[in-house]
This record gives sequence, C-alpha cells and structure tokens, in this order.
Amino acid sequence: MVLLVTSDNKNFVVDREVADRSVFVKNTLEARGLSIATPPMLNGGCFELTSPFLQVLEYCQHHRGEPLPTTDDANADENRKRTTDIGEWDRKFITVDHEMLFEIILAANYLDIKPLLDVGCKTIGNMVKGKSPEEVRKLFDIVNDFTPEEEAQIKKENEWAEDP
Amino acid sequence: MYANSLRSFTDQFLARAGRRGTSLLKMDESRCCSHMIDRNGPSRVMTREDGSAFEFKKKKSRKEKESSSTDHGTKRAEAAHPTTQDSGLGAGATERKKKKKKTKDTEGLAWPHIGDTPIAEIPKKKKKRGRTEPEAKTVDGSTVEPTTFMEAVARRLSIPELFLVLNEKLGEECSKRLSFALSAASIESEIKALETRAQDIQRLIITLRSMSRPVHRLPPELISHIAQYVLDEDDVDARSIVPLTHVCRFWRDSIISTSEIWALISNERMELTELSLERAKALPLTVHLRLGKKGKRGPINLLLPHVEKIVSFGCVNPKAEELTRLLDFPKSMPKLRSLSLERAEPIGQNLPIDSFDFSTHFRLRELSLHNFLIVPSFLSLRTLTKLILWDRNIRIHVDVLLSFLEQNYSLESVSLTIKFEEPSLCHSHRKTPVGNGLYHLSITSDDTTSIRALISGIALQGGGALRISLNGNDAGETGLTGVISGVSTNHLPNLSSPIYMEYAPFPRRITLVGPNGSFWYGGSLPTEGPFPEFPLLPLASIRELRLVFRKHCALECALEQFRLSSFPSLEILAVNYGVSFLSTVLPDSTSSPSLRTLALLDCKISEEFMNQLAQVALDRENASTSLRRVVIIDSEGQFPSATSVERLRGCVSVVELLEGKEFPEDLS
Repeated sequence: MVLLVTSDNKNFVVDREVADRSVFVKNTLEARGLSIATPPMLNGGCFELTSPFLQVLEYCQHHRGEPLPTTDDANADENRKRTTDIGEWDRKFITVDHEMLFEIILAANYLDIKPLLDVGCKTIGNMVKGKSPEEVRKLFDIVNDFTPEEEAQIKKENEWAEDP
Repeated sequence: MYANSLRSFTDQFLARAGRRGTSLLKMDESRCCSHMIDRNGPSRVMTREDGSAFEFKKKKSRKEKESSSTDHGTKRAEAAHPTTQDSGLGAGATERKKKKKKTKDTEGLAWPHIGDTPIAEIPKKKKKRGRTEPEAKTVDGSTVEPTTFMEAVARRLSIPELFLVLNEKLGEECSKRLSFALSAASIESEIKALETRAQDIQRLIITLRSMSRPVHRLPPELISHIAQYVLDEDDVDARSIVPLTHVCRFWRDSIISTSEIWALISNERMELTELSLERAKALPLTVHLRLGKKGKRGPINLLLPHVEKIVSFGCVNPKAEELTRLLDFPKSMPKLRSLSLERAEPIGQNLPIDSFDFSTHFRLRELSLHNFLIVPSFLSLRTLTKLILWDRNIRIHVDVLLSFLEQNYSLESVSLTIKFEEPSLCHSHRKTPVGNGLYHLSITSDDTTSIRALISGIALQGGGALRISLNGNDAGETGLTGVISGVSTNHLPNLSSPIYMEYAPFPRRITLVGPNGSFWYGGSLPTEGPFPEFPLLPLASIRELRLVFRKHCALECALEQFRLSSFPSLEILAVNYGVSFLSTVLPDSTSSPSLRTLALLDCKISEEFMNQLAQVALDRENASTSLRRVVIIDSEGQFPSATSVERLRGCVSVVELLEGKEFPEDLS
C-alpha cells in the first residue's frame, strides 16, 4: 500500500499497482524508496487537488494491471493522435463538467498518466471539432482578448478558412 | 475656423518670408502646427505643437526705427526701396508702383478670406504715446476701426501690424480663444491617452479574470496536444485547426508554435499551403496532392523549395510525367518513407508509373498503390513495413507477389484487394509459405481461388490478424466454405481455439478472437440461410458469443441451425436486435452449463419473455448452473415492467437496466 498526500494535505492510501499508473508517483517512490509520495504544489500555488485526484484515482483503479505505455509507444503517437475513439468506460468516466475535465487533464499531466491525459485531450478535441471560434469561446467561457486590430488581421488572414 | 485661419496665414507668411530672403523671423523648424501669441508683449513668441516656444526678432534698420512709430506699412516699403522716392516719378506713378509692389507682395500669399469684408488700405499710423492704435481706411477713404483680428487680416495689415492688432486690440480675446483651443486640444489628447490606458487596463482585467479558469491553466503544450486530436484521420491539411487559432491569444500562440500540426500540406488552398509551410518550419512534411482536372497547381509551386523535406507523399490522379515535371518526383524526395498513389479508374495497358525509379529509395517503409500496376521498380523495394495494393486485374504471377512480400523482411501489415487477371496466374508452385514477421493480412477479392492461393502462400505470425472479404457471386455460392476449405489449419492458426466470437447473419460477418490471433470474415448475402459456416468453425472453445442482427430483421427461417448446445464452453451470450430470436436462445440448464451472463440490446423484451427468463433462471439455480447476471440495454430507454424486473432479481444476482446503443465493454 502507498500513502499519497495531496497538496491540500489530504491522505489517500492506495495499492501500489494503482499508484504506479502515475509515472510521477512511480518514479518518486522508486527514487526515494518510500511509500509516501507528496506531490508539491501545482503551479507553485495552493491548488486544490482532492476533487480531481479522486477522479484520477478512480481511473487508475479501473485500469490497474493494464500495461503501461512504453517509450516505444511514443513513436506511435502520431497515429494514436489521429484516432479519437474513446473506450466506453473512459467516455463515461470523462463525462464531467468542463471545469472538472480541465482539472483532470491538469492532474493527469502533472502526475504523468498519459492514457488519462490522452482521454481528456481527445474529449476536448472532439468537443471543439468543427466549431467556430465563437462557439469554442462560449463552450469554455473563454474571453476573446484579441484587440480589434488583431481580430481584423486574423479574419483577413484566414478568410478562406470559413469558405466551404 | 478662427484658429485655422490664423495658423494657415502664419504658416504661409513664414514660408513666404523665408522664400524671399527677407525674413525677419528666426525659427528653427519650418513646420509649426500651433502658434500662440504672447498676450503681454509684441507678437514675438510662438509655440510649437510640442509646447516649446520659439522667438522671432525683427531686425530694424535705423530708418525703419524712425518710421516704425508712424507708418508700419508704407514707410517700410519706402525704406526698403529708397530709389522709389528719388526717381523723379510723379505721385500717381509712385502710387501705382506702390500698388503694383503691394500686389506683388501679396502674390502667393493666400490671405484668409472673411466674407465680403472690404479690402482696406494700409493705414497711416499716428505716433502716440503708449499704445498705437492702427487705423484703416477703406477704398472710399473712410477710416474703419478693425474690430476683430480677421477684419484686420482682411485689410491686409502688415504682419507686425497684424500682431500689434492682435495683441493690442483683440489680443486678449484671441489669446483666450487660442489658449482655449490649445487647452481643448491638450485635453483631447489627454483623454485619448487615458482612454487607451483604460482599454489596456480593461484587457488586463479580462485576461487576469480568465486566467483563473481551469481552461486557462492549461500549459501551451496541452493546448497543442488537444489541437492535434482535432485533426481527423482523413485530414490532408491543417484546415480544421485554423478556427482554434482565432479563439484567443493564448490558444493562437500555442497552436501556431506547434510546428507538427502544420506539417500536413495539401494543394487544396493556396493560403493554407503558404501558412502551413511557414509554420511547419524545418519539420519533415506530409504532403497530399490532388492532381487531374480539379487539382490546383498554384500551391505546388509554393511547395517546390520544400520538396526535400517530404517524408510522406500521397497523390490522387497523378501522371508520371506531370509529377516529374512539377516536383522532379521521386528523385527530389530522398527522405520519402511513405508513398500513396491513387487513381480513380484503373489504367489500361500503358504504364505511366513505370518511369519512376524506386530502386534507390531505401527509406520507403509504406507503400499504397490504388489502381496502379505493380512494376519492376516497385518490386525491387525491400524496406517495406506496410503494403496496400488495390488492383482488380493484377497481371503478375502469385509467386512473384509472394516473393516480393518475402523479400521485405520487416513487413508487418499487408492489405490486398486483388483479383488475378487470369486463373493461371494464381496457381502457386511455392513449397513453403512466406514466413516473415507479417502480423496483419487483409485479403479482399471476389474470387475464392485467388484468396485461397494467398492464404496458402502466407503464414501469419502468432497472434496475428487475418481478415477476409469475399464479394461477388462466389460469396453467395460458396461463402466461407469456398474460402477456407482445403486450406491447411497451419495457415489459419487464428481459427483454432477462439474464445470470443461475433456473428452477424445479415450482412454476414464473423469475428473470431483467440490467443492464436483473430479471424474476420465478411461476405455477401448467402443463399443457404443463416449460420451455414458454423460447422466450419471451432465453436467448442468459444466462451463469449455476440449475435448481432440487423434492426427489424426477421429471422424466423432456418433458426433450427443454431443451438446453444453448439457452444458448450459459453459463459457470456449477448444478443442485439434478436427480437424474434430470444425464445430460441433461452439458455436451459443442459444446453450451456457454463453460461453466467446474458446481455440483451434493443431486443424489445416482452413480459412473456421476462417470465420465461425468470423461470429458466430459477431452474438453473436449482441445477447449480445459475445465471448470475442479466444486462438489458435499450437505446430508447424502453425496459420491461418493474414487476417483471423485480421477479427476475429474485432469481438472478445482478439485473442491470442500461440506456445506450452498445454493449458494455466488459460483460464478464
């Protein structure tokens, strides 16, 4: 068993097999010979980890025992990126509100859980596919921070992009 | 209007004075946009737009000094030209000369126009102590007191007089106005500056506020990662990414700086080709061109300087001579690793692609030829890992094709959609099958003889996947029997001991998955009815069976061929759309003793069936072969009544009702 402590001082005791889904935790444990991994603050600030971390643990629990992606798989990244299919369980797992979705992606990125990161990014990719910039902004509540001049320039540059 | 007129006049005056070389003004800059008159003294101080003041001084001659107190107009002219008085001319002539001179002086000097104000003569000035009041005479001799500055201007006072007028008579008012104009201008500019600052601050607030949202905490590499998933498998360029670069500044910067995204190039749009080539920088390129009548040649010209960077090249409707002319293909692409050439229609006897020489392309790993003939230059390749051939009239002997596959030792995946042009071409004389590392083999044909020849000639690696599609008449007449009959089981290891089977009668598809590999067969509608292939398949080892029927498909016929007893090891049975089929598959305790899970998808389950199922579950429970799990899935959420479900729950450990369109991934 492994004790994981989040940046907001919440403790989680999990199986080593589950914890090892995170390359970051795995390497930390192996390097220090410890059974306690304390992830430092994300972005150097007080980042509430508990909520997304619970989700991440659920993912790791479900996929425990599956082979971890190796460095050889990195070569196949290009092909994998083009495949936006998501397994049924993963699809249901990742069906959360946008805020949580981004939190999970950030956590997966930080904890180095590539399959989960891919699932999150694929989900976002599928969501924005075929949408106009305005629709994407509305979807994720993103502010258009282009100056009118920049916007005019962009539109001019890419008028062809909106052509059928 | 007032200030503009003064400004215009003063500028012209300065310009004129400078041009004539008689300028009494000393100024450092020729351009002066705003002028301010010193209200307390003679009009000597002017202010530039930038606020700095400059002074102009009048160099007075002695005569001028004498005359300046009395006449600032006429006397000045006389002092400047003393010969006028000594020339002996009469008063009339002198007056004419004066007028002429005055006219000359005013040439090129556009006096401000003020309505119909009569032109005044230059007034004689009386020497007075203290202030000097300029007088003006109209043409009829009457004296007029100038009341406004512009009036004085209209009367063509000399400049010093004008300033005096300005200063002494109207100076206060004018200065006030000018000061006000200047102040207004300053305020305006100050407002503009503040507005700009306010806009900047507003943007900063918006940016900071949005930074707190999780979407903005994503680092640039994750934005790029997401963008890469926006690209579809069929995308030939980065067009679908472009809208994401318009979302916000951060997304734009992140995506644009990811060169990999832009390394997909096509000739669909000139602008995109140009943009992509610029943003891809030095990365290897994946290029897909469409030639023929609809192909655009402009983007290809842009591509010319980058041809050496191409590692993957696909072309639709190419002609050998055109590709050579446009891109010097294939010599110009020494790094080429993937090549795809596709024609909509098969070519005739001509071999346009034969002029290509691929014998030196040692790096080529993937080759896809669609309606292109296999020619010697291709057959010399030895480095392939993936091969796709589409040729309905293949003209080479099957042994030549097999030798070609064999010499590519690293070949992992082969997809052949072929039919040998003559039956004699597919009679193999090989004694041993091709045994390199081939893992995926897909064969599509409407000729069972061709398929059998290839299956016999190729041995898949253990765990590999064999996929066979049989189309045309042979599919209906002989089906799977015609394909695999007579083929040694050594050639079909993936047919032995499968643990998972999916069967769809209409259209017919069989999938077998086991530890030795997977086997997929697809064919046209059979004439024999459903399940004719079952005797050919090793059903005894199958532990999971999925029966997939087409929606609204009637299966009343020939069901007697299907018996659960054919699957003695069956643990999981899943049925899709088998509305009429359900009562047949009800698992009694003797037919499939290992059955634990029953999954039903969109089966429109009746109350009667639920009662039967409950009874079967009860019987099996008594016989210690209990049914442990029943999963009912419906895409429209139509489930049996709660009463029947509760009754079933009394006999089965787990009864799940799910809304969805697919079976759960794991039914075990």
